[in-house]
Amino acid sequence: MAHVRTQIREQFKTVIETALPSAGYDVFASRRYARNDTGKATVDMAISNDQTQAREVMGDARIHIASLYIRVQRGAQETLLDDLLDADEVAVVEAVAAHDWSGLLEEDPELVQVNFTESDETGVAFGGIILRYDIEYRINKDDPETIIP
Amino acid sequence: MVGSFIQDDLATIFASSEFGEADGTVLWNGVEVEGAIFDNEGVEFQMGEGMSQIAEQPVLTAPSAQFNDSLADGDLFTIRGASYRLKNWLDDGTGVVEMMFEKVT
Repeated sequence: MAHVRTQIREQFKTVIETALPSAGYDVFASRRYARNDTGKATVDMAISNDQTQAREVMGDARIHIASLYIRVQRGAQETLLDDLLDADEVAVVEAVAAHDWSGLLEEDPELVQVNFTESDETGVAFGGIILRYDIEYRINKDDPETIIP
Repeated sequence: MVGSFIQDDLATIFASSEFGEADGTVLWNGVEVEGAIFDNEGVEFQMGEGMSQIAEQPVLTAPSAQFNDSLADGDLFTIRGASYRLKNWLDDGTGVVEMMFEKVT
């Protein structure tokens, strides 16, 4: 068994990888090293700001609310980049919405923020779209590997 | 106006017999650029979010006199057989211009 956060990232990876064409995207549940430009978009994810408040529940069960950042970054011709990033959001949002998360999360993931980033340093314009989902899961406070259904 | 002695030095430095590209391999809107140095270095850069990327950074350096202050955003260059679109350039004021490109795919 792995930490619930790991399970969540891995499940998002599987969902997104299944929905997006492998010819156009490489998906990572976790990625730190720099990537060489392959002409494909890179999708990775990270969780931050994982919080719980003991007073919201009774006993040892704890509701956690965290932010999952799904980042899609790609190189493209400058005039096409923004349109492609918007299309990336459509593809990711559709994939996440189509999946049944009830085995892992208390509620469906909620898209709460979209940000952009970019670079013009090379012969290919690069940009990224960052989708922040709020996710909610319940565990025993002493067992972060097991979801309480 | 750059002194002729500097222009002579630049012509030597950028000549294909020294550091420049082979004759006929650099074209600016179809016109040959005689004497230019092309670099296409792989660089790593950070976009502020997510992982770093590594991509090629095409830069052409040449005596600015060849362009008569006529460079324009979007000019098409052919360099070593590949096509590039001029995005911006830096004229150093001493007779040399450095040009940055988007690769045309």
